Amino acid sequence: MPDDSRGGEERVRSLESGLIARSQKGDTRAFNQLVETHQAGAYALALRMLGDPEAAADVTQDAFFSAFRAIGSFKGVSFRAWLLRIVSNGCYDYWRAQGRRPATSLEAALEDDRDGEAAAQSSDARLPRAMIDPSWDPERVALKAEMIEQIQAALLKLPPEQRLAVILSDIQGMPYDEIARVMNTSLGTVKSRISRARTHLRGLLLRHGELFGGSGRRDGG
Amino acid sequence: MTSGNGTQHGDWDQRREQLSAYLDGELADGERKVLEAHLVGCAECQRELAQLRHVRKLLRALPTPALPRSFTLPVQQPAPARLATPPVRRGGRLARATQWTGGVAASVGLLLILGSALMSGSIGPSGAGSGYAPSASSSQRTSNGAEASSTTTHAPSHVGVQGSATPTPQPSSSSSDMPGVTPSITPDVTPSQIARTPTEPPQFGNENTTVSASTTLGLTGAGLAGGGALLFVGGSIGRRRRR
Repeated sequence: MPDDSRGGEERVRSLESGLIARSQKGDTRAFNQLVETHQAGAYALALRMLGDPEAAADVTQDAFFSAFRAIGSFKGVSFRAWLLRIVSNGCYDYWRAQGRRPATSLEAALEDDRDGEAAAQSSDARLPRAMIDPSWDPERVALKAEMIEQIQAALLKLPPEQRLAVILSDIQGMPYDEIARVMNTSLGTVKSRISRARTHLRGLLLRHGELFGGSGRRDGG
Repeated sequence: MTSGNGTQHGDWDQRREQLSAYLDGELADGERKVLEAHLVGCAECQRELAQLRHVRKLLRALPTPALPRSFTLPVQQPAPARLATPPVRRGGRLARATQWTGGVAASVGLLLILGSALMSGSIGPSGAGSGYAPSASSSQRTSNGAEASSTTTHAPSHVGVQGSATPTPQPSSSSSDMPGVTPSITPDVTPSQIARTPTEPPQFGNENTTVSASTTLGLTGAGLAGGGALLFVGGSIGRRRRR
């Protein structure tokens, strides 16, 4: 099975390489096949980053136009990483155009980090009352709408770099090296940002006990 | 997280980074084995790991948002040359259609005039045939005109909207801004297709049909004369168009 899986991945990569080559010659139809493959991930990233469906759609559409214009310069390994970098840049451009600066300054980011630490510390203090119920697995049941909203709201409280890192890791399912390509940074920085984001989110989400189940059973990991 | 724990674990930020990367399978083998050995005897790290894992599960459980629309790009079409061609073909088609209908209308109109002049209750085959022909001819002409004009309307839109694109009005994203969009795509609508689109040339098989006497008798001489005059004018217009 792993061989089949690898063979399948290679076929997909080969097909994608062909589409990229044709796109680089100006073939819009070939590029549109790439769009169809990647649009769900691109839109999901924009939506989780911005929290606004309309803005996310605009950013996604702009990203695909930009990607088509710039595809001649693509010589990378991962088209997905290249594309999601354009999408994430589009999110920053959107904030700039809106006159909003979502904790983009160092000071604000540090302040958010301090808040995150404080939340993490306070969550530690609450641990005995906020144990995880291992019988409740959020990946196996559909989350309720209000839970989705709570998680989205918590994401929007993260500093943008942490938000981007954890979305790429936990929602897009990307490995660290690919995330490093998207964020144009080192593996160590990626590791640190994901860890901080999860710690920060833990503090924010523990305020909603239902997100951690309800049982008082202590989870041993 | 006590100072004792801090001593035991060193930097908690670093420990969390390790635990977080461990969750993702991103630790090197040596580091992973050391951490696993530590986890066996450390309830606090186990708890930390369980919580980080749960946070990750919550994020993974977020549903994939439904796409509000397709983000495919509009496929730019070529063809100033192709666009210039259809009018010529359409003009030819129109001219041919008018030629047919105009010529037939003129001759039928002439027959009607003759028929009305001779109208005295006798059955005139040519006049009877003329009584049917005008409507056929004029409706055929109308039909052809409509088809021709619908071809005029549709041919460019076929060419312009071809493809599965979702045009999105973006100030900076018009297709003309896209470098590299070459006019290499063959339009869906070819001139031969355009020529096939209208209805077939009018059939005038009824022209020589002998119409029943009652039909002929129902027509007054004045009516026939009027119809004949109208058709004659129609035929003249047809000939002028042809020229």
